[in-house]
Amino acid sequence: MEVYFDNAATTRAFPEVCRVVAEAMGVGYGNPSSKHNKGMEAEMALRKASKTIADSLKAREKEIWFTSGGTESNNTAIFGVAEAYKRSGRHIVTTKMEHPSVLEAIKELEKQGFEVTYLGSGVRACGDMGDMPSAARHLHTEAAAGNMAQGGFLADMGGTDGGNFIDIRELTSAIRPDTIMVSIQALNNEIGAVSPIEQIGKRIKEVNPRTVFHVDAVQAYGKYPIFPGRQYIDLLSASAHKIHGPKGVGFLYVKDGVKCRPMMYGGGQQRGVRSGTENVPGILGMAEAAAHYMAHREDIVGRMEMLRGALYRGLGTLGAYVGADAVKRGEDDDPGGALVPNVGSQPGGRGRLGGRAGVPALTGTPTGVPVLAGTPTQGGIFMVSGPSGGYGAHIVCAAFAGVRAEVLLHALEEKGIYVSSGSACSSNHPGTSATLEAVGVPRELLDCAIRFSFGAFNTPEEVEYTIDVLGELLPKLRRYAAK
Amino acid sequence: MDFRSFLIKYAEIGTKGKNRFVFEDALMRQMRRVLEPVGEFEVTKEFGRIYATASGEFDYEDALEALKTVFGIAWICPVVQVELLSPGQGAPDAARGCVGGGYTPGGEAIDTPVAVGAQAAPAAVTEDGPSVVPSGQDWLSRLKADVLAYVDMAYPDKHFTFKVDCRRADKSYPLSSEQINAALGEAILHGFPDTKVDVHKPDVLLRVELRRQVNIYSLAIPGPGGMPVGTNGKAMLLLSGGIDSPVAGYMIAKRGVKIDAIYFHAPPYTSDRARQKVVDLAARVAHFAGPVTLHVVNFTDIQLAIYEICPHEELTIIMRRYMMRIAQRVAVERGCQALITGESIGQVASQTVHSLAATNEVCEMPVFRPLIGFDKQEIIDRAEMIGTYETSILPYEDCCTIFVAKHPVTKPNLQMIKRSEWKLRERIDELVRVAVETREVVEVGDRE
Repeated sequence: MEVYFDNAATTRAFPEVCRVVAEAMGVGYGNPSSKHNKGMEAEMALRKASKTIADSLKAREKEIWFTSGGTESNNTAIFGVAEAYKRSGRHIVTTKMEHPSVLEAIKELEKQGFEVTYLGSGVRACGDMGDMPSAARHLHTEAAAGNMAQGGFLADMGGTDGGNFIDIRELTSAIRPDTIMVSIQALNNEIGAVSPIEQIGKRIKEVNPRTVFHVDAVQAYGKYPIFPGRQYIDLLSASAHKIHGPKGVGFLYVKDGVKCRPMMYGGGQQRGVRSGTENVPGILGMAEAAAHYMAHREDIVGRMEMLRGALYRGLGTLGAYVGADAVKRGEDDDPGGALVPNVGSQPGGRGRLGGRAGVPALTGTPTGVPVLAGTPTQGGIFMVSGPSGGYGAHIVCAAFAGVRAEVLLHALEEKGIYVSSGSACSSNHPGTSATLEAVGVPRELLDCAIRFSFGAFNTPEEVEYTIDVLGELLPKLRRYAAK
Repeated sequence: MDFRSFLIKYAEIGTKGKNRFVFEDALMRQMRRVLEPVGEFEVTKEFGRIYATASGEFDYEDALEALKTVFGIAWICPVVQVELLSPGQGAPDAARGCVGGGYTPGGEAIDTPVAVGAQAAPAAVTEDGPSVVPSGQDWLSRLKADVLAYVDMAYPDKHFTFKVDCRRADKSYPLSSEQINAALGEAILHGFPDTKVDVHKPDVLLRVELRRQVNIYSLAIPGPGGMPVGTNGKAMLLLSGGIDSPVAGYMIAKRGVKIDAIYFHAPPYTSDRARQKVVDLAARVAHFAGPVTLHVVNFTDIQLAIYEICPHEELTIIMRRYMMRIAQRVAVERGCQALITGESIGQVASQTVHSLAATNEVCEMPVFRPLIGFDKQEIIDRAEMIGTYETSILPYEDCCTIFVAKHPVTKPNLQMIKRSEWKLRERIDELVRVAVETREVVEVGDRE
């Protein structure tokens, strides 16, 4: 059985996307800039695609810049805005949890003399602190004192200031008169945490109306309704291959009136904002994927939420299975063995990107996922992603104490299950995940985080199979945990 | 006028006695191997010299780069060859100075110790070179024209000092080498007034050899030295994916030794990318050493058995002892006479003198450790030179870096190690047998 649970990395294309791309390459292959009919044919197809994408955001066609994907969109937004607004100020606000295509671009600006404020995480990973070793207990204290206290990260994302992935108070105090841009991810790629985008956007504009708000929506676009015009978003990045479209294509939404200096100069395609012959097959494929996603969003996201709930429950039962042994080991010789998954009794809040009346909720609670009560018998699996609201439907991140993520990844791979490890590292080059650190994953577990991410093609049987395989593998692998 | 030919100079092979031909043939074989993808070349042996001559289109730089990888080559001299025709068989002027063009010492025979062959017939060739009978000044003026054309091609900037060094394989030329030197030197000075003669430390030493053909050359590009692969047996390289082992393989291959390689992987503790990295490194070694047979041994069960049963601080030493045992078994099967490792004294705990001795104790065949006295930086420099460094530092786990004890023994006690290994006695033979038998054999070509 092949189980592809790495959809946050990339996805298999929808069959209709493959057809559209092949046709655009083999039949409608004209250059949209050519004066003849073959070119015009391509231009018309491009305009149609443009409209599909614009409609998905309730935006205008001229606000859509087609790019080579998420990285180019993020880079264009960050360098383009910095260049266009540097006379008004040289201060930028972002978070520690951003994708490298945002963070590295902003670091580059820092080298050029821009000042940057990096916000921390407003949430803490993992909750129930039953029988925790010291490192985790420290986390507990910290969490209890902070946002976790009541409702934790499950707080309604459209509601209060606290308890969100982004701490609105911290954000508010970071914005200054010379802040030209705030760049924040809509949905974190590592743990799936959702940012209250509308709330953030509103607050930014209240504090400094001239500050430009960029949203990296690579993981969120398509899966959740995003309407930049209503959510105070000035720029928004998206990528096609995360929603079953082709690789190498994406777009940047740039609100009419917001200045963003182009990065590519040349033939003046796309009204001069992004020169270079348009990637017609890619763009048509992306539009097809977006259209399909829009038409079936509730089905697809609903199913992903169901899968997420099933995985969460399954991991819970695994905890129970492994637990008795793990606790015993915990007492004997295994320092990492007795961690307890987050199984809090938090109310299932409904996180929303939208947060406005009439706008559908972004992430619903997977219909009443029976969140497991935290008992010591569940030792060993540390849930980094929360059980429901406040987290995207397609990502579950969990740290398996006593098993290096890379080892588990390859062991799963041998069984046909494809996942990601939280951070790629090795003994020679310890890599650290800023996100995992920011949300307070204990140090000894940073190396143990596995990300499961769902797409439109996954099935409940796959989750079941994965749980079975994990149940089989974990005791074996833990037997050889580091001495 | 173009370089179409390379004269290969070799140092050490020349010192071999009666089996010299073995070395020369191996060198020619290796040259043919590397030149095959560059173009059509004829590799020939002539009077104790090896030439590679292009018979079609080729890229000069590519050919040079290819030859630089052949062990046994001391110097590569790009040569312009002009054919020497028999007297009276004048080549058309148009063809002169060009590739394939003729050069003829025409004119009448004067002072000739050797009889003139029939007119228009190819010169009879002796062991020492042409027995044509050059005479008159005609051949000299043509030689001058060729040398001028050569200088013009090889040195766009004419500000240099030079010296002409002429050799005559056939001493029957009417002028002595010294006289030819003077005549050619004068011609160059006249043709390119910016040049100067310096007989002691010339910028350009222009060699003109009058053999069966005329060789004109002045460039000498260093080759890698060493001896041609295939002249000195075969050895099994323990290839880990680190920086050291590919360098060790390179150094032993340079002494003419054919290489087989063995890699221990431990899925799921090591990934397929780590395995691919080793294949890539083997390919880089093969670039110099010729195709390498890589044996991929699944080491997981052995590693876990040791991990479970033996003291943790002895893990690495015991693991390495089993790697050596397995490598040796595969080596015997493959007809190798020795093992090669990238060990260097004191680099890590398993490479202290004590540890090396403990590891070595299981080996019956000689173990070559060419890096034994090298510092890390020296090894890195070599890895960069042979192009393995970039690959070696890719951050994938290899099986040595997993399960490493915090405080491994640095002075292992052989008796204790043996006692620990004794605990494995019930399972280990079977595990080793299975590991050897289920190994995967990957033929790694030299162009991958």
